[in-house]
Amino acid sequence: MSTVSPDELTTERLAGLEPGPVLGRELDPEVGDGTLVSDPAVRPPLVLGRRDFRSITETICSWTENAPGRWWTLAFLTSSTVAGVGTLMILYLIVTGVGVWGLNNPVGWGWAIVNFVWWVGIGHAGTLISAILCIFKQKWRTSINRFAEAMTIFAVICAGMFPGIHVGRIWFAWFLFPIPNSNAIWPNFRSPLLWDVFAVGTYFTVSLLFWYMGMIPDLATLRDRAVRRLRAATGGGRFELAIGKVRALAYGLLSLGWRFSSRHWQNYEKAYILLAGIATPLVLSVHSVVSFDFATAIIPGWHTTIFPPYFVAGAIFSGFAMVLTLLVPARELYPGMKDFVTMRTLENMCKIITVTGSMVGFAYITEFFIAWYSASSYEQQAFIIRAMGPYWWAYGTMFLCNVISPQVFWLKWARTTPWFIFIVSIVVNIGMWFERFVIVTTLSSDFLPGSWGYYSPTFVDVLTFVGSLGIFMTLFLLFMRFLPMLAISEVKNVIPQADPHGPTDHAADERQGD
Amino acid sequence: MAHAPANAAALLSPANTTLARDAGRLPAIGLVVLGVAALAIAVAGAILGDDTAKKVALASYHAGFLFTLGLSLGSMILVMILHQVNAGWSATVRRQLENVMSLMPLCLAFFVPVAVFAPLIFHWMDPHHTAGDVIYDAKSAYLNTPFFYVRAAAYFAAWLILSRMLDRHSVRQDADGDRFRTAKARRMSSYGLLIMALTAAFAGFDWMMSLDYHWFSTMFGVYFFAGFIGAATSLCALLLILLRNAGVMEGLVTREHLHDLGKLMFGFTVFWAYIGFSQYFLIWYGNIPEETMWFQTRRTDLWMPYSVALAFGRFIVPFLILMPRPWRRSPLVLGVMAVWILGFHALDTYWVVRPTVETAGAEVAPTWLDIVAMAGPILIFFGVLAMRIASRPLVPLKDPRLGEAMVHKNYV
Amino acid sequence: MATAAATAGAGRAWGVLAQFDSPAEVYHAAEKVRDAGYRKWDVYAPIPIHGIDEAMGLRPSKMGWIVGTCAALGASGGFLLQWWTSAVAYPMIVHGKPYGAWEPFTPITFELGVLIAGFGAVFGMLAVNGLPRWHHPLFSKERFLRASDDGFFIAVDARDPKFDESATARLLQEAGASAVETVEDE
Repeated sequence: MSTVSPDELTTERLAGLEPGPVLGRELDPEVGDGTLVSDPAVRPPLVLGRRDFRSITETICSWTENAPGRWWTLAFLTSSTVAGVGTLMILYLIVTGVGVWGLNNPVGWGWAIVNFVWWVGIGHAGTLISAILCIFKQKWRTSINRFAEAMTIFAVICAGMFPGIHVGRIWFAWFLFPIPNSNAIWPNFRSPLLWDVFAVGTYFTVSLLFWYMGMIPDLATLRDRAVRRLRAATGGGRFELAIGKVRALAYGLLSLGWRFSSRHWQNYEKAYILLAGIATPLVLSVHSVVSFDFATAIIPGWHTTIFPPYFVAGAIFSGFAMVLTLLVPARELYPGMKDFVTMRTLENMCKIITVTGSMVGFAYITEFFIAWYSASSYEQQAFIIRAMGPYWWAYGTMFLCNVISPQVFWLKWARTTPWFIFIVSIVVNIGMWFERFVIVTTLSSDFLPGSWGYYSPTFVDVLTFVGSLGIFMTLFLLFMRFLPMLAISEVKNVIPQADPHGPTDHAADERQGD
Repeated sequence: MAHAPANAAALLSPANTTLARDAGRLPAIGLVVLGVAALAIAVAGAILGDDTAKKVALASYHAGFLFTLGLSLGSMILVMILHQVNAGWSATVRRQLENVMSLMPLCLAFFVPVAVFAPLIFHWMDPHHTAGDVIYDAKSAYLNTPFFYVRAAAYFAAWLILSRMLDRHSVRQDADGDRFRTAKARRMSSYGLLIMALTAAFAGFDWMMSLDYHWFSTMFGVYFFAGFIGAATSLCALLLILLRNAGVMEGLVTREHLHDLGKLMFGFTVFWAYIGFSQYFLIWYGNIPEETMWFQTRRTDLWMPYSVALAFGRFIVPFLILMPRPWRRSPLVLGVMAVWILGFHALDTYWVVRPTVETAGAEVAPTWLDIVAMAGPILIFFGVLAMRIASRPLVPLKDPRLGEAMVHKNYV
Repeated sequence: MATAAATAGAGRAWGVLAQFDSPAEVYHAAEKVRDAGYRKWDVYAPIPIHGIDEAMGLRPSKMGWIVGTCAALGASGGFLLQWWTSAVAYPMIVHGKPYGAWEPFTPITFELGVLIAGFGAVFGMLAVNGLPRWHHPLFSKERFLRASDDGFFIAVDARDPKFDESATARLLQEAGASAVETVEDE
């Protein structure tokens, strides 16, 4: 995880160690912006453009301090309109009842649960990037973790909405919680749906805490800049002054008086790594619990033991795709962002998509194989109907988008071409939506052929889902506008100047604890 | 930070990176002799004993074989992962994993007796057992003797080729210093991992799950993997601790590396528990006889204590002990836990394989034959491993990321 | 260069603030302050400098114990809640499972352990650090606001037994500070 730029590193590489012949080969030409190096002895730089502490602060803060481009206003108006339509649909559902959805007798769970699982899954990439990659010390993550965590929070908000409104009589939703009541009844703790309440609730809370805690120092940076601007303000309209005061007050309150003390940093870093440590099994548990919703039932095609890890892999897969869907355009729209979110970041994310996509493919194949191997005719039939029954088109889309499409990233060109990455990321998201659709519509043909049916959504289903996309985008645009989009202090910590040990005096205090 | 320490050249001197030619030779030979003796006793016990004794001996030997195979497979997968993620910290650690990985031919040798006497423990190979069994008939296109051997040959071919190629890149780099060998190994690891995922999972289905051929679980391949990957990490940590005690690898493998291996051991412990629990839990919850029977077999008065011991020994104890950072950094604690995890991984393998042995529908209690038959291949494996370690440099001497590994430090 | 003597304004000194130009400089200065035997002092930097806790001679953080305790409390509380409601207070047969079976209680036991541990990590960190806090004397210094940007500082508290306004300032000066000034108490 070097923070040294290639040239410095190559020259001082392995001081004292033999560099070794290259067997007549030239160094691989550096592609693109200097971050895609295939020489194993060279660590590409994490931050480009010879940036120092000040320029990092300037660039990242300027995105929230200056008025956004016209694209932002346009995007905000569009997405908030869509969100409004979604909200209307939800109101319509609440005043009418779940009958406005396309649910029918064999298929008691429809788009709502598909959307729920899809959104929760998307959220998982944020935690993976912020927690798991943090534990594995993948420093390239510092430029995308804030972004991905914000995505997590908003995705989980969208996810939580669906089971909430699915209960029908939403005013009884408090039944989900173990609240002492006059009937002396308690929730059924043996129900996977109740585990969902706790799992998703915990996930949302811990993600929010993690996100917020990571942001405290950066909010303090924005606070100090706002204060300095206020102090320096000469003239300017009364309106601007008021806005400035509100900014200083808001960032001041949110940053909790953080003053960059190293004694504080010590506890902060420890707390951060501990949060990462508990968020890692948490993210696994959440999607495992979501998979239990299906797998504890004895419905053929649902009751299969590989569901927990398979759901987790799929979640990370779709979440990475969603991060890329948001990141690739943002990289173009915000000046200077390419210095932080380098080609290597994109390339690494593409590789993770291929890995998790292949895991999902592995699970599809295992499922199919074991369904046959089980010699249970119901299991076998469930899978045959999935692939060749009335929903064959959904199964085909799923397989094509989730297993085949990510394999394009074996090609270097594919994973270093942003517009292409963007397209594949959308394809993957579509595929993962269909995966959940395939799983849910397994309900349409269970044990008794006499009770088979076919499910199709109504316009309310469709518009509620589209509305959730609008809610997500609205929240995300607000985040991009008002909060530090990149983790300023973390990015600063991966540039070479942050190393308190110069290349020369490193040996002096090394290896003492040994 | 990729600066090499000033005394890098001294640290990489032969005195620090190789074992003396005869160092550890005696214990190594001792282990092999002990293993051969154990096997001889097991063979004698099997020949002299009745039909049940033969089954018991082969089943336990099979568990011993699977244990050693798991160590090799796990080490190979770890090497591939480390290459694939361009890990720097592990450059000085990797050679020990390669040593374990390179014993794949020995695992093949261990497999031969299992292959020859397979019908003793793989009931589905026995026509008397499967006569009129409609469930068997439905899966006989997969579970039939010729295909079983074809698959075994394919798995071993893949493993032997991959381990040989990876190992050769590393050893040849010691000589020619071509740093692009690291890039080649990385490229190999990408498709290599794909092959490993499929072969290891299906090997698990074939050699462990099909012992109880009515039973099925989609998770089983992952369960096999989750067990051996933690054991392989533990073995690596144990080897490094022993080598450090022998006075070599000074400044090459430090507490920092042990700390990282400890974290991985902790992580894989939790991962095993997660996979094991999920598999058990979904079957418990579904409560369908054709699935629960596998756990039912292991919940009898005879096997229940082993099941409980496994849950505590393979998960709860290492989970609690490897949690505090100072303990994870202590070579003593880590070494003890590595032995502990290896022991309970052996129990796990035994627990999967051995309860499938039955005589006339009745379960067979563990005997002394189990111990010798299972210990045989394991002792030989460790003996040969000790010789392999002494036979070549202890670190990849010209790995381009050696410097990074030497100055590796965990700040938080 | 401003010096410590230039004490503007009234009030007694809260302490001395010294500015440094890079993480490396502040790191080595911290080692000197530590070796001089100061106790109530701190390094301020826009980043958590690697290894600064050793350079300052700090003891390991207590966060691990706080979070561990919270996790244990959350998990055991979660298990007890489920067991008591399902097996004692409101026993109900659900798919033929035993009332008090541990298996179905595992997910929520885990989730509540994590939830409380998460609270412990964030609120524990804030509590240990004495945050949130409305104001701090250091914030009155314009220069100090750069700690959130590219400034590196050492501040020694006047309450430190070894504190001596001029001697401390000299120490910091010699340790390579680019500017030293006195901070007034408020």
